[in-house]
Amino acid sequence: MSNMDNYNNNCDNNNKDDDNNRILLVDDEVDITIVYTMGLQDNGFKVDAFNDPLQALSDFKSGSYDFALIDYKMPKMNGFELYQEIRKVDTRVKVCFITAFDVYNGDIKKQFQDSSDSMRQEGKEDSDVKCIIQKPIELDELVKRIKEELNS
Amino acid sequence: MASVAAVVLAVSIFSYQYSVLTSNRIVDIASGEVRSNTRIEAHDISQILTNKLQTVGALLQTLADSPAIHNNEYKRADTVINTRQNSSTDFTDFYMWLNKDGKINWISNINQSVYQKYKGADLSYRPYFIIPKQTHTVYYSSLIESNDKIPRLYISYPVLNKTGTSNNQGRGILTGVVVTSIRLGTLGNFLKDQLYPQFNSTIGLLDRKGTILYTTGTQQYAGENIFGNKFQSVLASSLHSSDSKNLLNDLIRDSLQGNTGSKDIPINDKVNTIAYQPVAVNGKDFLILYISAQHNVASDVGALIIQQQYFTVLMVTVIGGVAFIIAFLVFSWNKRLEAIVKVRTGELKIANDSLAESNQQLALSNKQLALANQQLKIHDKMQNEFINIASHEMKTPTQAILGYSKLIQRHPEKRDEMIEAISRNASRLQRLTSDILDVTRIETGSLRLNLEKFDLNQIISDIVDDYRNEIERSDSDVKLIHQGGNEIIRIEGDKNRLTQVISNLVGNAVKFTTQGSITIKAEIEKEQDNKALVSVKDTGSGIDPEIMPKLFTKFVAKSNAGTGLGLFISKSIIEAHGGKIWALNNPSLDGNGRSMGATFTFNISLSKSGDKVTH
Repeated sequence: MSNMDNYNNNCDNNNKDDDNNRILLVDDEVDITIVYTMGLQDNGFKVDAFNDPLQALSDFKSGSYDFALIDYKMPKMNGFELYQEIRKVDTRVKVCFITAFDVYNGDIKKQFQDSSDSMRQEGKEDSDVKCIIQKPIELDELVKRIKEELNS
Repeated sequence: MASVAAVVLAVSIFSYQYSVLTSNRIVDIASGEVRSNTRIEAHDISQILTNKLQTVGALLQTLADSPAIHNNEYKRADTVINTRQNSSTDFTDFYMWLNKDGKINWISNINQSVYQKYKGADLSYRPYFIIPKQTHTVYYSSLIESNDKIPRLYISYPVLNKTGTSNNQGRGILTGVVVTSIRLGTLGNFLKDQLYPQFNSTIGLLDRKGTILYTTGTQQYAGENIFGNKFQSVLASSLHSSDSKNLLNDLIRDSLQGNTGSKDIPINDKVNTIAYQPVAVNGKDFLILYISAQHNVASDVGALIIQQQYFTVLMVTVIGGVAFIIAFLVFSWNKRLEAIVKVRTGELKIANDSLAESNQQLALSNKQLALANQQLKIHDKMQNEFINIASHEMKTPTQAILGYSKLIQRHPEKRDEMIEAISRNASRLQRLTSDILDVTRIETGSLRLNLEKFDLNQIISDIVDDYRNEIERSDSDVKLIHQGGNEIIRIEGDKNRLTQVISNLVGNAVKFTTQGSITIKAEIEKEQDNKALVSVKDTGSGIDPEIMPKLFTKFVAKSNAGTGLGLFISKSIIEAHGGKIWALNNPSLDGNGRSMGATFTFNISLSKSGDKVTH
């Protein structure tokens, strides 16, 4: 476990010169952050991974990331709340949510929509969260999705 | 009932009033009839009498004009006179021929000896001689008492010689007077015969001086003046009311003036109509005729009508009585019906009440059903949520396994770590699967207990041994204490399931305790000696007060490594054994208010038999 964490940290400063590849990853499951970080790093992304959303928020600086991959269900602060806080600081960063919930299930979908609506009412322009990635996902597929989002 | 009586009474009164009205009207009509009949009869009979008297007068005139009389031819005159007498014998008493000096020349209707006796008798003092002699006109006498005491009326006619030198009146010289007489009795009989046979009336005749000539029934007043003391005293005694007497006298006075008329006068308590009519002969009022008729018919009709009234009243009363009886019958029948209806209504009410009760029960059942339905919906929602969360929980280790499996090919240098990670996630998945299966069993009610008798401390001992080994393998210095492990606490239950519960509790304690101790104890409950208490006390982080109320529900208390289902499953297993499970944060001992870990406790029934348990 400790080795994996090291790996996670070691990857932080890779490929600094390459634009448009800095990724913020927030997920409370350690195994998930390890797997996703490794998978993304293998494809040339620079990844900052956090298991605690509050930690992620406190370390967040505007313009530090091109892309944020945020787990929806987390203790202390859910993905949407974190997203809202990030948006207050950085309006540019592209965001995808990642969740093990079935997004096609009515209840979960409603939760997403409600969160989305509340953001729209607050006048956030980039409030329409369309990008939801469902767990489990093949690492190659994950990379492909993120690249699509970045180029869109 | 009262209304029926009122109707009967009203009908009776109305009927009586109507009868009175009708009877009065009928009496009026009948009286009117009597009045008009009386007047007509008076008029008719007066006319008949006039005609009769004129006929007699005419006969007398022809006699006076006959040559035999003129020539004093006695023998022939006798024949002529007798002829006249024969032709009017029903009415006239006799004919008589007086010479110019008032002496009897001839007299009819008497035998020779009587004739010889009266022949030459001087009657010149008689008005029936004097008046025609002076006036040369016909004379109608008043009542005259004759020599033979028979009351008679006389009519006389002058015999005038017109062929001789004319006298001062130019009607010739009086050579004699012819006279005829009418007996009052004959006149009375004649009049009586003229009365209408179907009309019950009486007749009276006065001369124009007021002398009574004839009255029906009796002749004793004939010749009396009507205003004389004798008749007036009779009137006073027979007419009870002085008004009636005055009325009658007024009537007679009026009639003596030559007037025609009629009046109603009560006589002997009965109304009589008296009609009067003058009998004028040759334009001279000679006699006054009276017709009197009692209003018998009217009073008969009245009596009949009163009878009718009584009959009507009787009929109405009888009908009313019958109606009353019918009404009474209907009323009592109604009462009976009412009573029956009342009974039925009561029965219906009872039925209704029980129906209402059933309804109420039904409503209650419905309510319960609605509640059950709601609970079912909630349950359904919870089930749905459970599936969502369970699916979420299962996808997370799946994602890890999937990721590591991919990465292991690209990073062979981290192969061991990754295999361990895969193994860890796989076992998490296995636990999760097992727990989800248990939850499903619990929630579908298909959790089966394999009951057996065993010693609680024995399974605790085994569990403690397992965890002690685990703790020893880690760096933790937490002590695991099995308190009172030598006491045999024999219970009957599912050994595997209870092992699962205790293991879950100890496992949780181990997870949340980084230092201090975990004490596991089984004992007989002090208050209820038929129960055993099992407690797991730790010195860990304690239970978050926020999740305390929902501690034993699914996915609430979740550690990194746990499934979040353990306490729910433990609670269900204990409850399936008839026991209870609860958790408390330990009271602070160090004085700084920090929780000193938590204690989980459950109770379970002891085995009833005191059989020994072999170790």
